[in-house]
Amino acid sequence: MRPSSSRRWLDTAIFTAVTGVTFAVTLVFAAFFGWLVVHGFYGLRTIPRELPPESAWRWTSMLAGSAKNTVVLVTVAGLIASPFAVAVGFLLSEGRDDRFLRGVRACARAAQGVPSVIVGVGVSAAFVTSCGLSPMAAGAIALALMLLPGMILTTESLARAVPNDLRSAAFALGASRLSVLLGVVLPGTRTAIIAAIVSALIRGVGEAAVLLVTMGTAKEGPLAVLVYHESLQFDLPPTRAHASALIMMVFILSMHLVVLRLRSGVQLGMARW
Amino acid sequence: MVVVEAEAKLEAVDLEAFYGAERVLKRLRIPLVQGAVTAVIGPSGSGKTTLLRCLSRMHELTSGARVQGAVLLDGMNIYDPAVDASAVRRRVATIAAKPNPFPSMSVRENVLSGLTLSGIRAQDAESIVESCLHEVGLWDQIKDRLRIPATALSTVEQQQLCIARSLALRPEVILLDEPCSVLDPMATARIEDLMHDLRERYTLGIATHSMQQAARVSDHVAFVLSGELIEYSDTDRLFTRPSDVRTEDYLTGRFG
Repeated sequence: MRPSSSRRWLDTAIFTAVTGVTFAVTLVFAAFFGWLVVHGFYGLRTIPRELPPESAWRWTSMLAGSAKNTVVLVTVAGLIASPFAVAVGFLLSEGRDDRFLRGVRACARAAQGVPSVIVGVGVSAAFVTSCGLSPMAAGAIALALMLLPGMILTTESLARAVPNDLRSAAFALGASRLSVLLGVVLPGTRTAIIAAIVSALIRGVGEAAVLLVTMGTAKEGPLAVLVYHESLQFDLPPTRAHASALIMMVFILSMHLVVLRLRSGVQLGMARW
Repeated sequence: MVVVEAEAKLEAVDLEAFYGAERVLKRLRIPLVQGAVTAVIGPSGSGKTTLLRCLSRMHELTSGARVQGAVLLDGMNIYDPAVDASAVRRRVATIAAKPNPFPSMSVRENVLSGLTLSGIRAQDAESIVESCLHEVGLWDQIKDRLRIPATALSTVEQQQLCIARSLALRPEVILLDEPCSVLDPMATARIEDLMHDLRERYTLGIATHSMQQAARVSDHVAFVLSGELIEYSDTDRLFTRPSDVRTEDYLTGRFG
């Protein structure tokens, strides 16, 4: 039986409207990126002319220092958070679903919603004020703590995506619980978990609030902090803010390319399941 | 109920299985005779798969599942607390209904997976791969494709590979849970031929809802209904002269 003409008209209208909205949203994002690229490049080109040579040189080294700090911070945060995230995520997925694990899962979900500035305040009080830890180390710990819950829950959901048939097959071959985890679940999810960790770290690159609280006194913060400081220089032209924002976006887009590359491999692997 | 007098390699004795408080198997007593094929038939939900899982200690892997009674493997109760469940599973292999080769492994790695997952170092890995694939009739077809992903094989080849993977552990009993349910008639014939070859060296158990398949491949048949053993007999007798009216009703299609 064919649908009525009014029904077909309604289907076409809804589909057209949704396509139009999607196109409009894409256009807004494309316009924003285009604007950032144009103004960022303009800023990078004009800063040497706009500032005295010494100040321009100082600013350029500050930008390079911030980029380096971003790499260091995100790498250290990733190194701290990922082993815990993978271990706890696999425990949640593979362990018996008892009260303890349900509690851990609930805590991870709740921790995901904690504002980053609160994490910063906690880490600052615990590590900077009490222990005298360097701002850089405290920033890395804060970033790791902030990203940890999301990484845990993502690892858990990726491990759960491995079909139970494969676990059963491994158990049927006499494998222990640990062998099943290391021999079947981990190889099946490794690339996806790495992609998820890099995705989480991308969020870390753009995180400013937690680092402002923990590293506020540091001479050179990461790029996100630099962009924040530059954007507050209302008495100066915004060229420096735009230039540093562009560098940060290049960072983020490069990491996204890594994630896309990893995900294409993951999709190939999942197609085999 | 007619009981076949023969030497049992594996035997369920007053076996009861539970999911939580629900009893799904009721005091079953079924022997799997050495060097023969025993088919477990019954309608969907009658407990065939649960029975096979109990015979290889796979049932306990399900959360809330437990077993009462005994399963004797060469007279040893596999549910004795001193018995290692992993060791039992290596002696009693289970083949699932749907082929499930490990997708992250090649054909060769899949054949050896039972050994690697159990932490057993194979001294002569290549000869194990060759002999196991020979045993399931796959060697000539895929000897040049051992490094390809196992999931690149056809469905029936994957099922043969899963059987070869179990054989690498040199099991004594092989339990096949509806091994042809996702296969076409030609592929089904291949698996049935394979079972015919394997019966000489292994004790086989097969759960199937196909009475024709049970009649073709088995020496003994157990008819299970709602978790209860209705009848156990040799195949010819059960299909021609069932002793219980419920068996006759099932065989003649009155239910199930």
